[in-house]
Order: sequence, then structure tokens, then C-alpha cells
Amino acid sequence: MSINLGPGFEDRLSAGEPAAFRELVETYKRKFYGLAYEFTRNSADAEDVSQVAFIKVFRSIKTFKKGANLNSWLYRIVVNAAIDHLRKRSFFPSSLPGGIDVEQAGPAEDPARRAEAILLREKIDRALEAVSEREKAAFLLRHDHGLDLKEIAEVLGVSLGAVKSYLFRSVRKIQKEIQYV
Amino acid sequence: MSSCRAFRKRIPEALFGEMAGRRREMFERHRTECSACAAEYAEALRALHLAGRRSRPDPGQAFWDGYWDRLQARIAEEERLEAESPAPAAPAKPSRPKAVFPRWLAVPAAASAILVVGIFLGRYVFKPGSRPVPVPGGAASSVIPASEMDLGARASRYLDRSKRILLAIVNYHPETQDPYGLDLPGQRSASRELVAEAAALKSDLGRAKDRRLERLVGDLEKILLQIANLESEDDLDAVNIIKAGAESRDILFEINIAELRGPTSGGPSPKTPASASRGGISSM
Repeated sequence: MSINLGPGFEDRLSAGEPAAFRELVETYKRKFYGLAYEFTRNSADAEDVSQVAFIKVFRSIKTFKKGANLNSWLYRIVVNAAIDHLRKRSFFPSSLPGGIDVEQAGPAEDPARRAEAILLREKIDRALEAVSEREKAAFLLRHDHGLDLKEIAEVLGVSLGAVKSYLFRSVRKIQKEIQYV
Repeated sequence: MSSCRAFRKRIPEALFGEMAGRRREMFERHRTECSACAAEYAEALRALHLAGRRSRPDPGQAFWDGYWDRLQARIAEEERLEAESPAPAAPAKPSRPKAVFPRWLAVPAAASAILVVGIFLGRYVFKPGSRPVPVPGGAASSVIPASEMDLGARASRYLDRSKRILLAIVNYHPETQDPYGLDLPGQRSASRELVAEAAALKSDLGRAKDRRLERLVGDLEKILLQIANLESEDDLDAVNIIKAGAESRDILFEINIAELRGPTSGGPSPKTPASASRGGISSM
């Protein structure tokens, strides 16, 4: 799923136009944060990862090849930033994920539905914890961010077959985890 | 059976709307014909729907309103820190003692010194042909000439590679495992290489009079040929036939016995208790 930021946007961005960068941030901030949150399970870390990703974009935008898929390139940066963050955190566990932030579990609604959503989220989190980083990324990019399989292959730098395999395994895990829900 | 496996393998594509045309038609037709596969698909679809209903955190509008300002502040802070950090152009160099030789002579001198040490080690420490190659087990035949060891090493490598391929296939359970888990293209290409190598190896083993190993390589050649000729990675029925063939002939057991016996010595091989008790290899 490509996001159209208007004609000539990539040129403006590559030329270092501040307004273009701001437009990019406004378009992608929720996506970057959401994906980072899925990896880190922590709002402060999610913001940190999303900012690190935007800073990388800001600094390396000149290396973006004209005609390449901007969406895939951006997601590649945020996925790598999230994975780097997790690897660093495994060495310096200052902010370990401890379930989900209850105050962020979702919009205030009836308590039963809220509890159900939290339970579901925990089960899916558990299933996603059991798959590899790439499998998790493939699932989230397809399911939550609507990237097509080719784009996911570009983001992860793997073949289309590998992406299908990642999706197969992640769906199986989720299926197993939530079979009694 | 194989269409059920192909169906399961394509479930993610179908779930995520990445299947069209004839493939989608075939997929849908199978779904209407096979209740087990239809149930499997429905279960996966339900899992996806539930995954879509999970709560997603939203830090609130105030967070988003201030996001750009915080990002800008961070970029500015990082740029300031970079500007303040000591310039990379002037790293303080520790003072060196005055060189005895000019610097341009240092690299050739070091290379010559390494060469001299290498020649010394090669000539006096690792003298070629002075050391016998030990064979595990057996005092009488504990040494073999290096030329024969080449054949042993080749046979051992052949057995090891074949074993890896067979283990991957024998341990693969399509009912419970991801169909992509078995790297069939890789197994096929490795099998082709081994089949191509088999004739020469068998002939050398025949000359070395190691009939047992020669027969094992022949048996392996037939199984590897079947793997090399697999038409597609969906051909899981053929995989099961190969699995059954390898299991019924105890090929892996025979490889283990051959590995226990160690490299071929060129003469009649000593019998291990296990091989003696089995009394030979069943032919294909």
C-alpha cells in the first residue's frame, strides 16, 4: 500500500526541503510509533524508536534512490531501528516490557469489552513474542500497515517466498494462541 | 493429499488478498470440496479478525500535537552535540620512540620476517609426510598413507552431506510443519552435486576394495537421484516416498556405521561390533 504524498514530493524531500520533511513526519508519525510500540511494548521506547527512525530518514534522505519505493524504504528504517533497540535493550534492560500500559489499552468503553480487548491483546502479544523478529515484522506490516508482500520483501530484504513463510508461521502461532477466545 | 498441503501453504496469500486469477479459483474450488481445509482456512480467518480487534494504544492528541516539536528539538540537540564534540581532524597522537628504520621499510621487513618464520615452521615443525594420519580405533591399521586419506576424506564428506539432506527430509513432518520449512530447492541442488560425484567415488572405492562403502554410496546415489528429480516443492507425496525408502533401508543407520568405522583405508575394512552384528547392507 503506497502512500501518495503528491507529485514531486520525493524530489522536494531529497533536496532537503524542511516542509517536505515535516509533511513526511506528519504522515508517518502514527505508523512509525504504532509499529515501534508493537516491538517495544512501551510508549516511551516507542517514541524514542520512532524519533530515531525519523532522524535516520532526515540524515540519509539523499541516499534514497529516485524511483525506489519510498514507503518500503521508510518502513525498512523503522523496522531496523526497532530491532536495534530491542537488541540494545537485551544488553541494558532498563525498561523491560511488563504487559501493556493499562491506561493505553484503548478508548474508554464498557469494562467487559475493554477487558476482552486487553485479554486478546495479551494473547496476540504472547503469540508475537514467540515468533522471530522478521516473522513479527512481516505480520505487522501486512496486517496492521497494509503493505503488500512485495513491499514487505523489500523492507525485510528477503524473497517473496520467505515473506509468505513468515506470515504462515505468525498466523499459525496466533491461531494457536487464540483458539479458545 | 498434496493439494491439501498446497492449499494450506497458500492460506496466508488468500487471507491477505494476495491471490487472484486461476490460483484463487483453484483455491476456492478446493475449499468447497475439502471440509478439513475449509475449516483450517476459517480458523485462520477468525484468528486474523480477532487480531484486528485487539486494542491499539493511542497516546492521545496532546502527544501527537507535540511530536514534531520534540523531534525537532532532538534533531537540534544532536546537531549541537555533534558540533561541540572534538574535531576528528586532530586526535592527540602518543609520542613514538624514534624509528630505527625508515617507515617505508617497515612493511617489507615485517613481511620478510613472517615469511622466514613460515619457512622455518614448514620445514622443521610440520615436515610433510613425516607424520602418519591416525585412524580412530585399531592398532594394526592405525596409520594410512596420505594419498589414501584423500579418498577417506572424500567419502566422509560425501556421507556427511548426504546425511544432512536425508535428515532434513526424514525429520520433516508436513502435517505439523510449515511447508516452506523444507528447503527443497536447496536439497535438490545439493543432491544433484552429490549424484554427479557418486560415480567417481564409487569407482575409487572399488579400487580401494571398500565394497561396503561402495555399496552405501550406490544406495545413497539412488535416493539422492530421486531427491534431485523432485519436480516441485509441492510434490510432498514424492517426498514421503523418499522418506519411506530411506527409512526402510536404514540408510541413516548405515551412514552412522560407516562414520564409526572411520575413513576408508584402502584395504578390507575392520568390522565394528554393530556392523558385524547386522551382517551387511540390504541392497536396493
